[in-house]
Amino acid sequence: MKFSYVLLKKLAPRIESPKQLVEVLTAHAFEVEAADDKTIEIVIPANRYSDAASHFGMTKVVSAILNKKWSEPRPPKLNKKPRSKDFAIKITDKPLCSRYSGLYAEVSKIEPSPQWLQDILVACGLKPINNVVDVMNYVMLEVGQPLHAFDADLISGPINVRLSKRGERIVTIDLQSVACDGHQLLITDDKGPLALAGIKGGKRAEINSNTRRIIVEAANFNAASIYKTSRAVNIITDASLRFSHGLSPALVEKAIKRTADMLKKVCNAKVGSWLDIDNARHKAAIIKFDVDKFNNLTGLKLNQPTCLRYLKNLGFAVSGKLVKAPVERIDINIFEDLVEEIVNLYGYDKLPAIAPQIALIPSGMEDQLVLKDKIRNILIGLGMSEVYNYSFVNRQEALNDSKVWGGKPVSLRNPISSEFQYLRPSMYSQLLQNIKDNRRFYDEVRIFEIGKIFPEEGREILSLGLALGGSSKISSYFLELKGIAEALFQGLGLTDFEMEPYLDGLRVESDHKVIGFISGQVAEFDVDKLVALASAEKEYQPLSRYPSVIRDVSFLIDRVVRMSEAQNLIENSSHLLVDVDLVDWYEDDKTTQDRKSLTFRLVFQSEDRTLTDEEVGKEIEKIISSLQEKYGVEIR
Amino acid sequence: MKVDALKKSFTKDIKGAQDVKSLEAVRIKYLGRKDGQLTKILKSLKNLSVVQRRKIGPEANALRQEIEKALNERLGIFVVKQQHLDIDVTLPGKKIPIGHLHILTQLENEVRDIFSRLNFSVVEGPEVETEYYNFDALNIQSGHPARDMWDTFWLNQPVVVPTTDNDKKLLRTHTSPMQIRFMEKHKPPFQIIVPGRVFRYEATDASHEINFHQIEGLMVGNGVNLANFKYVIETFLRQLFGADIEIRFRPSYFPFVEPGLEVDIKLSSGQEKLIASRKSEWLEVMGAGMVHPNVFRAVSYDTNKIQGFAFGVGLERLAMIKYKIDDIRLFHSGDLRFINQF
Repeated sequence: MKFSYVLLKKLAPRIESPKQLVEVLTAHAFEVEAADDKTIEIVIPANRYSDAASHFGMTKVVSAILNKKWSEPRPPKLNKKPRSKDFAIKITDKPLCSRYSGLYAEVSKIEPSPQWLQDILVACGLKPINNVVDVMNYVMLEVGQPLHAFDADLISGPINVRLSKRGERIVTIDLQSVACDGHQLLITDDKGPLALAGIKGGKRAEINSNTRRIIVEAANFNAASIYKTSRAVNIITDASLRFSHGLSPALVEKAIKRTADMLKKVCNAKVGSWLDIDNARHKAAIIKFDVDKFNNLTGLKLNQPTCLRYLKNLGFAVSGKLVKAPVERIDINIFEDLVEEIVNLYGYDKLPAIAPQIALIPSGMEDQLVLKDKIRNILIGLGMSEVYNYSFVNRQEALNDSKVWGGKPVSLRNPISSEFQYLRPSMYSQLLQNIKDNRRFYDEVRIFEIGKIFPEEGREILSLGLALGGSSKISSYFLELKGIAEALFQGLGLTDFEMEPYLDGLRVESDHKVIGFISGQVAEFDVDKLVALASAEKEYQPLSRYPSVIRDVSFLIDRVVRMSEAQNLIENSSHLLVDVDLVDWYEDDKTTQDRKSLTFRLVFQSEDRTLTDEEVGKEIEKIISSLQEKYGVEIR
Repeated sequence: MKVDALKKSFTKDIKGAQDVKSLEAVRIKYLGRKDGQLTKILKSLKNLSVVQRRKIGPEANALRQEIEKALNERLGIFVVKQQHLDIDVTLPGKKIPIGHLHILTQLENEVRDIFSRLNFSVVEGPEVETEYYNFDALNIQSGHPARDMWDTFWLNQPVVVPTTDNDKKLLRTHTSPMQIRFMEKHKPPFQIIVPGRVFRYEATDASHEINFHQIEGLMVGNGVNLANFKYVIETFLRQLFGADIEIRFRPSYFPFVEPGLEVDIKLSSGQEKLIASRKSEWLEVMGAGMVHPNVFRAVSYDTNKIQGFAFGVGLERLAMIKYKIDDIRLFHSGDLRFINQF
């Protein structure tokens, strides 16, 4: 929010320079975005619009930082009247408008306002219009209360604050036509809408060059209602921002009195009656200040008078240990709010840094985190690099990738673009795209990602995706991925898993649970499931004291028989076998025709004796005969 | 043949052997199991008289040892000779593929290590959250512009679910919902950090992303105070960026803390680009404060006995400062030219 440096300096002469102002505000109150000798742009926190979004409020804060209490100028006395011969007001929808004030005045001429006033408006980013409108805006800048002036001659009957009727329309001063549906709060008269309450005035009773009699409005509207309407009709104004954040109803009175004074001074106006309907129950909180509690929460060692002096400088009323915030400080409700005020003024630079005293309870890490670390370390050891992708994909990718884990993909109600419309149901498409993108710069690409995927609503899986790419055939990457997966599982201590043929790839299962898939050049695994399966501790297996005997067996077998079936049969044919590995295979139409050649390396070993050639020979015969019996293989 | 003659002939033969193969031929000639000339002599010993045996036996055995020794020495020369590299040793080494952890993983690990040494535990939470955990329980009122501080992605949900307002699902805008989830299940004292991915509905540019990473911190106990916060955060930032880093604490506002503050660090030379884009040499890295009593009330803690601090730090921002990276979008580009630099 823009503030006039000139006005602040005038109100608080202790301010030395824009630079000093920026320094003290940053250190003790608010973030400052920009500053020069005309304008200083201060970030007003969402809970401080009622007091700090005004030059008076800001002056109060700055003065307190500079160790001086500042009090608002007291405008000349002005009394409320129960009724007026010139106008009347009423509130129909009371919950949405806790206070409504009207001030009647007569001006002799509508003309440009004086230069000094225009300069302040411009410094604050407002456009000067005419003397009456400029006074409204100027008082808003000073006090923080939005004001509006109507031409009294263009109003018929009493001013009525009510909700809109369905189908009602209002044309604003900048000629936008807003259609109402019954939810918008309006300022109306007998003829219809005069203003969109708290947001923008209407064209019909606008101040114009012929205006002589005016009614000034200062009101307090329900913050949530203004916030909702302003967003619904998409009109955001200085006034709507202030009302949306919540303002103290007490500002109404301050603003009316200041306006009366300024209208006389700037517009040479004759000020008439002030009518005020006040249903607001704005009792400032009374909080007990406990200095021990303060020191306990902050780690400081201040005494009570010091603490209270800070609060007094901010305009808090102090009586013994009881503290009452100024009326505009609607953000002050609990003890901790007082702590913040004092700490801010005292300064964080003076706060000591003290090591916490804690019980010696070991810290820990969730199993999932430990496993993620392990997976990452194993994979970089296997030459894989880690990528991070977006959690979002487009519709095409979502529909395609949802086939991996099943389920209906989840879309966003408010996507940033159609490219990022869905939550990724799998990493499949993204990893393939990574491979493609990186192939422009690398011959071989080996990547993985660990992150969340969202197969369907209510399902959030921690996924591990792996992908390989380069100039070789996909089938070779498939087998390499399979090898990587096996090496990874071995490294994780997960020994009990099966890889079953599934569609055009493999489905990996363990303990009857599907833990992942390998398909083409991409593999994906459910890390949550791996956590449950891989947590078993490794246990030492005694090394055999007797030598092993190694024999290779080659045979021709029908192409349709899967390697794994033959291997299973071999493994189950001899109890002396400790390992079976496929060491070679080939098939070509000329030499093997509709068969393929497989060579297995068989390792025989016994735990209690050295095996003889004869014994091993018998085992091999057993194996060969079961292979011949089941698959009719031809030994080579 | 006499042993002496055999010795002379062997000395000649071994000199003539120039490679492993011819050396093996020499070995077979003298020591071959069947027809080795010395082997024959040794085998014939048992047929000789005791006197002859006593004379020839030791001679023959000594020669056998001598021959074996000579053969081995000679073989050693050849083996070494074979290993000698006949190449230009200045040629480049063979490229062995090595993997790289993503820089954000490396940085997160570093942050986790620092906090683990400070006795913080590490936990994680879901990325899809409810309005309750992301906002309501954290004292961020609905219908108030304070909520606009977090631009939110909302999920499309089937209409059949009878959702009350705070059951509505969203992508978490910060890691703070884990404060609530953790406190619902644990009793103080404790200190945790929560690393994780968060989401903001906003246009992307060099310093804004639709998803990025935060590390939440929460320390709660009987006397955990603001000065403790300052110690923990100074320690953390100095361990991460070095002891010389300049740190600034200043007032700020977040609905779930009171008092609330932000932490800035001073950018060093070499970061002029970042300084220029922000018009300040200070860069905020963290929002923090003392946990608001309403947050403790949401998890039924006794606010008279329990107090603590919370903070949230942006991982990408730390990485951008530490490694002088000027575009946040690089982190999620999947570009190995970027990833492999770290």
